[in-house]
Amino acid sequence: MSRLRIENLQKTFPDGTRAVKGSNLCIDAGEFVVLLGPSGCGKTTTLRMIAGLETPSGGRIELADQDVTHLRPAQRDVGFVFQFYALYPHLSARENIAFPLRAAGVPSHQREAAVNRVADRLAIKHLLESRPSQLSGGDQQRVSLGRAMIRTPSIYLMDEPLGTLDSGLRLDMREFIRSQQLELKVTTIYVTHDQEEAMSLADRIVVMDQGAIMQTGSPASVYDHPANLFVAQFVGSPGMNLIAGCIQQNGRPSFRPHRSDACIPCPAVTTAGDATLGIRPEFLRLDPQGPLSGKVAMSEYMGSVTFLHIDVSFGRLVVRADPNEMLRPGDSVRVNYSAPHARIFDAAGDAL
Amino acid sequence: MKHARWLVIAPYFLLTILPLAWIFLTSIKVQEDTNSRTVKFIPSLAKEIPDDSRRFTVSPDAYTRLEEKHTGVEYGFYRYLANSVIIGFISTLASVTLGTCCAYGFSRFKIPGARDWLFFILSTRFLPPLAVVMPILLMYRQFDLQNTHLGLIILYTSFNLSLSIWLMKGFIDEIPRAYEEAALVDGYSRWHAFVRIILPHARTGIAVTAVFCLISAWNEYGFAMTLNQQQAVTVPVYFAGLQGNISGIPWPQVAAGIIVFVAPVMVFTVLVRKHLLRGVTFGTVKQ
Repeated sequence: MSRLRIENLQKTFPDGTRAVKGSNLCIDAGEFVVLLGPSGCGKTTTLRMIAGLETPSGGRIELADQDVTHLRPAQRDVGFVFQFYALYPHLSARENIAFPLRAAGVPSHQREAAVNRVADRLAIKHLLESRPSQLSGGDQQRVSLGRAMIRTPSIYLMDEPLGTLDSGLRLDMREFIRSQQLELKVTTIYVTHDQEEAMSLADRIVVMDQGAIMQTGSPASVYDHPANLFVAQFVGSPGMNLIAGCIQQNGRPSFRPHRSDACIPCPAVTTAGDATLGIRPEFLRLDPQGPLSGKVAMSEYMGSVTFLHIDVSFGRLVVRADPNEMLRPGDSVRVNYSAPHARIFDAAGDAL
Repeated sequence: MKHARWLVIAPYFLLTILPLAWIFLTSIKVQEDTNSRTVKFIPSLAKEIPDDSRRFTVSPDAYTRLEEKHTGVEYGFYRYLANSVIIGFISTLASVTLGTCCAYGFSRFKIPGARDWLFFILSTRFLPPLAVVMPILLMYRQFDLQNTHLGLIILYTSFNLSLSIWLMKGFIDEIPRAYEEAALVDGYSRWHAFVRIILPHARTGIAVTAVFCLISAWNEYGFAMTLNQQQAVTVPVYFAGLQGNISGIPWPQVAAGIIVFVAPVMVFTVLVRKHLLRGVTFGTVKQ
């Protein structure tokens, strides 16, 4: 299948907003790539430029080794799934799914066959005669997936397709989309602001913020080795604990948080000076012998795990704890941490 | 509160329905009954009715004799009705078609100075149309457009275009862009997306706009009278022409003509009244 290459892609809207500030991205055939970022980070604009619904202000888009930067959407051979489904309300589900084939002039008996095949795959055969307004959100999104799937385009573009669904349905549809993609092996770009969704779906995550790509990598590498403070905070729920301080090099490097005398061991780095230490909640643990002392401020019981918010001398830390831990706000605790899992970010916020 | 509103509705209803009712009663009278000494307003099937009775004999004469030529005018009623239909419908078709295309452009594309253009278009309605009757008369004389159907069609189209653009823009703005975008991605050209997606969704808007355009062209009198003496005379001008009839105004026929003239527009308006309400509020009412 095809690959997508984006070079120095830019978009400035007429009101002066720089939505995308020169992105570079290469996507391999069959890859499932998720564009992840907060709203307004330019992920949807990027997707719309790839589809041809938005004209880039600069840069180049190549699909299957062909420059498509200035082609009309119809000439690009992409399948687009919209956040609000965008099913044509005046057509039945069947006609909606068949719509792209009518554009291509496929004869009606072949259209029928294709619609039935896709409907089988999506398990929506019994819904084919309904109008979109008679369908639930999940079913509407299935029909909309069907409309994108019927043509086997060279790339699927999905703009927060699950954003409007209830959380239970979301999980089902998430699994469903992933299984479909694995089976069909179609290159897919999926936009979301939900980092959990991104982690579970992606072969590769592209984290964006304020129109720029912050980091590209597998879910594990983005989670374990965030490239900068933004990614560290945005990816993971809750995000990384970030402690501002400075690194001291006297024999072994150690980290001293601002406004504190505590000195905590830190991974081997060669620099010194202002830095931020990041540590995931799962690498902090309650330990009577731990070097950090604090008071429980809040406890979030999640079922399989409890997140304790603990006030220490230099700020607040979120610690993942056993759900059986019966601690109340105000209780004194000591916290230990696993130094090799700490990440150090320099004064500019980039990972060392 | 529920009853109080009838205090407003009832008088208004009577005010609008009474003239129509009176015209209808006149249209089923014979000429003598329309200017008798006693006011006759109770229809009756009896043949012989005393002169001083409030009742009158119902007669279909006026309707069957609509085709009759009256002194002072050249043709029968239907000829003028045909003029009205030709001019009204073609100008409506033209203003709705042009208006829809313009509105689509204003709604979907970035047009330099779009706001100023839209204001300019609206501003063409600020003057009463008759204020420009003299220049238009001179222009039409120059271009030989007097006494032609085309002349009135062009005139009504241009007057209605501003209304049509503004109304249609309101309706098209409400159609989510995603529908078209889906069609564009699915392999349709902009034109096909417009025809296949926008037009079906804008049906209500088109119907509403058409009614407004048709009504204004249908009822227009001032220009129709000034620019026409014979060929393209419309029904309103024809009725006015009967006023100077030496043998007395043929009231039953005039009334019958009016009924035939307003009935189609009235029926249609009642049929689409739900959509009309949305039209006059410029799409500001959300269901």
